[in-house]
Amino acid sequence: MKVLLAFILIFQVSFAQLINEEISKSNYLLDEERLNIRNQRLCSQSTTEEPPFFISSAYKQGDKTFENFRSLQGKTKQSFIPRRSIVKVPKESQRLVGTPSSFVQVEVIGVNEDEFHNDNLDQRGKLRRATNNLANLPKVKLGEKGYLHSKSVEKVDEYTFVVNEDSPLLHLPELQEMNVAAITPTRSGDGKFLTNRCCYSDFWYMTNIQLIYDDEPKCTDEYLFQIVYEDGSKGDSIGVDLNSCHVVNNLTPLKDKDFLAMANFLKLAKGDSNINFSMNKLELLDSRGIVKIPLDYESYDQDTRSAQGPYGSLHYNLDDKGSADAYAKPTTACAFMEILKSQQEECSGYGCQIQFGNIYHPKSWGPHETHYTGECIDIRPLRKDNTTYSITYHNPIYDREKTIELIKLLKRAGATNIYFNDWGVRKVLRYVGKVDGHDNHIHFCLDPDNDDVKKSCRDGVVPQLVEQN
Amino acid sequence: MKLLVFLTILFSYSFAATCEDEGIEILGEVKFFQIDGDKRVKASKYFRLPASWNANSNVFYSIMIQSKKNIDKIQMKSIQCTGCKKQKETKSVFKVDSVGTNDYVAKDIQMNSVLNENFLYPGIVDLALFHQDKLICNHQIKLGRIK
Repeated sequence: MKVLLAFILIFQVSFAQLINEEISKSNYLLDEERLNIRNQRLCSQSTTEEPPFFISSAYKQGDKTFENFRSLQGKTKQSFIPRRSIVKVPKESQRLVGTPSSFVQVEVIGVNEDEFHNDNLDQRGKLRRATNNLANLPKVKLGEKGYLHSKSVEKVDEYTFVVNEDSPLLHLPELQEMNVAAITPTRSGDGKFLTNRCCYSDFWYMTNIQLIYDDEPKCTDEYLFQIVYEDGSKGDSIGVDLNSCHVVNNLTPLKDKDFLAMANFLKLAKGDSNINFSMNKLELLDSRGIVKIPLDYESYDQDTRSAQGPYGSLHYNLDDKGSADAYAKPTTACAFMEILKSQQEECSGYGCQIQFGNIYHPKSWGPHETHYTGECIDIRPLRKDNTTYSITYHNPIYDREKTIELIKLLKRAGATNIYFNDWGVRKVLRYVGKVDGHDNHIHFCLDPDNDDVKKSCRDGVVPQLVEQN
Repeated sequence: MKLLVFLTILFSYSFAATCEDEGIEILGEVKFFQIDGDKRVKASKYFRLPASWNANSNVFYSIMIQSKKNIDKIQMKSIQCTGCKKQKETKSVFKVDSVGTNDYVAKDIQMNSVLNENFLYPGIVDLALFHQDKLICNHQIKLGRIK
């Protein structure tokens, strides 16, 4: 009997493996077929003054993550459109974009899927009024037409577009290997947009005069987009058919000025599998230009008011379940994530966990004087055990040696304005200051304009020097 | 007469002994995680309520009082905002239950709601402990303005 059961089990395992192999092979063939068709197309390049699309923003909406979308008849509010959605503007209306006080006719071709962020904003937090859950309107749908305020429509010039995980563009070999795939419209020397008309037919041949197709060719009009690497450099161009399914809807526009920091931030967020990050979990508060350190909200605990952060860290004393206090400027957030990653690599065992508290805290929110910029962070001193409660440097479980190493790591990352009251630390690290209330935490700032901070974000924190005999 | 009563009350509030002088300990229950590999185990520990509190201090889940004198009430007597134009006052009263010899607990007191969310920085929170409406002692927590 046991032998029979064993045979059945072996048969089931082998059969399942066979099926999986067949499925993955068929996916591969499908991709290969698509690529073959793409390679067999004949494309003719031209230029146009017409941009591929425009980006929606919000005008006089405060922190709200959305703008009102108005009806074609009567311009009444018919729905809301999340900021950084992608819209098409008819040629005759394009001259109105950015003008002081008019309305621009648009068609929605990509909706920013920011529900994760909005649900967190809705958690009785300090930014609750920003959530689209209070909009009392439906969300715009793909293809919906209407009006946007002329100041709520922005040109593509200032944006780079990150390709989301579900985008068919990621089948292209040029984008497949990238940690963060991003593209931007390709422009000619005179600033025009490059386009392609690409045709494919099962049978075609070329004469001296013209192309001859044996049957009706299938043609697509594409815009050319250049690949943008994490360091901001640009690579080859790829043709993007804007009418193809899920292409525009799977682009996340990011401001060019923040792109370098954001690309590295995204790479780091995706690099920690424990927080299960994806582009639809990006929490970018456009009105204030700040991004939230990704947290594992599933681990939020009401009693301790804490949640797990990236790279083994812990976020303590959350202001609310949506953690309105964990936002930072993109470069600061990126450099801090690099610090968390380095600490995980350099310190192992009990007490190495970085426990961080308030980051973004405008004066109107409470006690902090210097956290309104989103550049300064509070972390607890390190300890000898594996606990997560607040300690001062007087506590027997406080670990001075580990704390000194952590502060050295902060300094290597470009941290400034470092405060912690333990004299045992300050006599070794003379750049650490003393100020009231800093017995139980280390305060430091990561100024986004500081070259060392920018370098830490771009290349990672400078490794610690190995002492040589 | 009213003035006399007022002065008497004021005097009794102002000059009542601090809980520390009376040998009465006010502790806050702090819940936290102990990390063991990938596992997180929730544990509990009691800490003295700090004389000075800031946003990096512990979150207090409940209040435990260790006292040889009987205690049946704890009052959040006043929450002063020393930096605000408008003073905030409160008279929140919480029941204290005896849970063992010299041990009392006040479960409903939301210390952190007061300390964390009332925007009273810099400020002072005054607590008063009573037995049968007689003031036993006072405890003051300073809410530090922090960098």
